[in-house]
Amino acid sequence: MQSSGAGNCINMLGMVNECRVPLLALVTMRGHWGEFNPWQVPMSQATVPSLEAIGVVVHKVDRAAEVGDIVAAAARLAFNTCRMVAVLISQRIVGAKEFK
Amino acid sequence: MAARKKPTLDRRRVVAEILKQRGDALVVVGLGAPTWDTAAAGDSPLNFYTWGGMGGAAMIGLGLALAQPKRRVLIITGDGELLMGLGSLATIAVQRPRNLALIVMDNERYGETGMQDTHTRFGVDLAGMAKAASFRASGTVYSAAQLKNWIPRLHRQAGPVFCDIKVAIQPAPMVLPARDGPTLRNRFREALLGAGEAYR
Repeated sequence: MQSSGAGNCINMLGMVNECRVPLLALVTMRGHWGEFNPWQVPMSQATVPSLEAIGVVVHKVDRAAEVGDIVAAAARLAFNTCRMVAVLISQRIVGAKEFK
Repeated sequence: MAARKKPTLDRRRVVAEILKQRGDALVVVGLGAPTWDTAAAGDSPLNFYTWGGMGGAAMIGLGLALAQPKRRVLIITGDGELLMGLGSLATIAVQRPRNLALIVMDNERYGETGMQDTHTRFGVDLAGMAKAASFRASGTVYSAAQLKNWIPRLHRQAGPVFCDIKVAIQPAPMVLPARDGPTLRNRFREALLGAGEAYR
């Protein structure tokens, strides 16, 4: 999902947390690296604190070469320990959305 | 679910035709292509473009319609945006604003994230949902002739009115209106309420 969508999930993640359901979320970030749309910035700023507040372990990845390792590690953590783990993939990797 | 036909209407022309007759209507616009379409039809301070808050356009429009019962309120949004806030249909139907029309530019795709299919592509019938929620009028438009028939209803029929307009997937060039939130809010309030009231 996109970071803006992560904000829509918070309450439901409470259920996932309570039931210790393993969950791996791959989140592509909007609202920071080279962003054009100001409406994306607040949820971008809130993504890490709100995910952590509801109990998600957050891994951030800023370099394409590290995506594979970090996603694999996050998957192991999620499924071996029955935790919610999110990998936030930087907008630097996926590229800022073009508005033209 | 409804039988599916291939959408062929040109979204830019549809929005331009609708807004040609807007008068002093207040227009709330869902994020993405409906925003570019509405800006392309001619900017107005009475357009409130949402550049985020996906799923919220219909409820912003409802609040506005209840606060401004003498003004027509048009919500122009996309199928993906409405699908993210389907409960809005029930809330609007219960409030029954006579001055509200909810218009969906339905290309059956999530256009801004790479044209993934939305549920309407598989036959989910948004107009049927609005009708079941008890909107006063609801329909799906596939042709220019149907659109011509619907345009006066969008502007004048007692609401809540719902119209799902099936539009082709051909992309149109981005036409970007102002995007700074306070700018959009302030110019909208000033155009609606006057400078004296808008900034109190």
